[in-house]
Amino acid sequence: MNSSFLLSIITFIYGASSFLYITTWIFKKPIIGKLATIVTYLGFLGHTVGIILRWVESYQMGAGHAPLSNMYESLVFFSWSIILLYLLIEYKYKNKSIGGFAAPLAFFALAYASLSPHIEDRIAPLIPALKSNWLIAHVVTCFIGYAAFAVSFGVAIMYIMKAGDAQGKSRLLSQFPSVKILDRLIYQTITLGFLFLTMGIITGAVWANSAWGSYWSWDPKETWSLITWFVYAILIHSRMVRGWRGKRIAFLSIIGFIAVMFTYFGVNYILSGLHSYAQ
Amino acid sequence: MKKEKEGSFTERIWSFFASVKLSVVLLIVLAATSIIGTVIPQNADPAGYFQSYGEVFCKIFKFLGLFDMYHSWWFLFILMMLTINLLVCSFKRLPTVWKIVSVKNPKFNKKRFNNIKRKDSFIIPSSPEKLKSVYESYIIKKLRYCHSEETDAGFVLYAERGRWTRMGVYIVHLSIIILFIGAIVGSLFGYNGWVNIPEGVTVDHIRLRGNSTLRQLDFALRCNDFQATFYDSGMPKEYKSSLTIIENGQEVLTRSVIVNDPLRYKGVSFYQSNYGILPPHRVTLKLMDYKTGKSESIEAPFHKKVNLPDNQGYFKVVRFVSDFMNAGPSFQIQLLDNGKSPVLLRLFKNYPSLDRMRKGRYLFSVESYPEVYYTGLQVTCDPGVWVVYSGCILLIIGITITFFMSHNRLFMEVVRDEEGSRVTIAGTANKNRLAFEEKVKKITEGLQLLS
Repeated sequence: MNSSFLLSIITFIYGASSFLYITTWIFKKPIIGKLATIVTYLGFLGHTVGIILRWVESYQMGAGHAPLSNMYESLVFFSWSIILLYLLIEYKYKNKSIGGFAAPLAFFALAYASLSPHIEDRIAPLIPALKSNWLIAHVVTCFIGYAAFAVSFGVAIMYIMKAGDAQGKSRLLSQFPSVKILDRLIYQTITLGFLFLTMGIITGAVWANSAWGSYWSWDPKETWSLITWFVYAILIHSRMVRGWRGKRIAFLSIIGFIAVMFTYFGVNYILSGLHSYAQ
Repeated sequence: MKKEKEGSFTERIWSFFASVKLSVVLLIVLAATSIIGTVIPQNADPAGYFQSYGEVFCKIFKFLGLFDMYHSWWFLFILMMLTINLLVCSFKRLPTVWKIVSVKNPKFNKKRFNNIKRKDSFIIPSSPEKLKSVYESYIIKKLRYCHSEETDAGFVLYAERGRWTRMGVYIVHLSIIILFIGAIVGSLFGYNGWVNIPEGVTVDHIRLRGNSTLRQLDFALRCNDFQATFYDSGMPKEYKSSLTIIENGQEVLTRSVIVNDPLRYKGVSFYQSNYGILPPHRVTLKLMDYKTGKSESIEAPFHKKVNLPDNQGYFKVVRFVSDFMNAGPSFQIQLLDNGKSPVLLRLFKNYPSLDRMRKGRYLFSVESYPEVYYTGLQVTCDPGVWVVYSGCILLIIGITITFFMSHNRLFMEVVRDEEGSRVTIAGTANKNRLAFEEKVKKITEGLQLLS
């Protein structure tokens, strides 16, 4: 079994866990919730094996590099980070309704990687510009950051749904954590994402300086990552100093995630620049 | 009166720059305007701009500096405003925070203790005198700082950890100022250029980017060898130049440079950037005589008349193109066959029989020509880069402190009771309060087991 095949199976497992999380949320069946968690843990285990297997395969082929070098591999790692972060949150907060909003994001990322005909899932050797020890540091920090923002986005949507039902009439929304906890979760995941995005931008800058002799060249990818950083910086200042809470923060989190998505996909597909090997 | 007005004016400016609202507005403006430069290609060919945007928009965009917007006066102005904003905000708030941070031996504060709503309390069958040292040594392990005082009824204890973390946000802001300083140092005292060095050639100057002026180096640089290797798929694998630094006529250093591994010498860095093949000065052509069927190799220098084998005319190599219409290297040759009008031939290295179509007396083809590679190096000197890197490290440290560390305080009051002692505990934190409350709960449980 090769890694691409294993990872496409994981796609279906995440599809199943998304379905189970949503089912347990809607039908309030704790047994389904337990099943959802077990399936997700199994999926995550398989996903981890898939990434390691791909790494091993690349060495067997003689290409020899960490599986973090193109769009396919980054999507696989992005999806993995989302699930990791979600499982930590589920463990800490003991609430499975969040799974209905986090697991689908990981599922979409992996489904796009595995099923899209535009995305090459073959292992390719590295071109000279990518042969650097900064590759792992840069990609890992960026995508952990992106994953934290993705989870924050999911929770922000939950917040907006829950806040729309102030009287607490909805039976469905009573499954959600309280608005206070959701609000805190949005912010906590954003601060985590912000730290990792900062590290991602910095490792990218150091790498660019060792490859091209310039740590910042206002390339579209760099600029968009900075725009994303600005959006979250705005959110953090609004909250820390101006005391914004709740809906406003939730909306800003959604705007931030749109900026993340544009930095990730939009720049590659719409704009051109130095970062084009990520296609 | 006049003086007062001036005072209020500077005060107004001060409070304008001291507002976080301004920071948020500036960040929004920076985020929004930065998009422009990702849509309009920066520093591109003027003819291309004219083609894409037309004359009128070209003029407008040029006036607004949109073709190099990140260095335009207005963008730099916004960055400067943000810097001032950052400094003023920090100066305004720092004294208050410093007052809190610089407290040397903080003690139990009854008022603060009373203000905390959530308190845990329990009764333990032991006297306060006995508990004091036991509790102190337990709590100091958990919170690093501990101070206790005896009271009439028992004792009070104050413990804390991470008072200094209140400085985190100032570390973040300071690091951003350091980043800007590093960038300014780089742009004032550094330079950025490129140089192409053919194999075996030594150079002592480079060409600067932007205005293409020459810049003398303090030493000379020789390219010994250049090699490009490829994977079986045709994808590039490695570009490697062997370079030697020559100073005062002596070879000081010889090293290989590949992408991601530049050569640094005396503050100047050389990066493997591109490569190419030098246009040859001579070429060996093969001439096949259709009549006799015999072939002859002729070495022909550029721009010189070379006689045809039968001396019935001559030809001249006039031009070399490294890749003509994606068909590979080609040579242009002027042919003057006696009695015929002159013709211009284009010979392709990769298609030796193409000249057959001409139906001339000879079939011309390219046999060989000397291929001399040159290496293309990016050359930079940026004395500000270490300042920028220090700023980066400080930024990461600062963000970690700001968001993931907090100032935790624990208050304890122990009062003599009929059955022993009544212990009341309360905790606060400036950030992530719930996490600390949980910790206090655990400490409380731990204390109950001690006696």
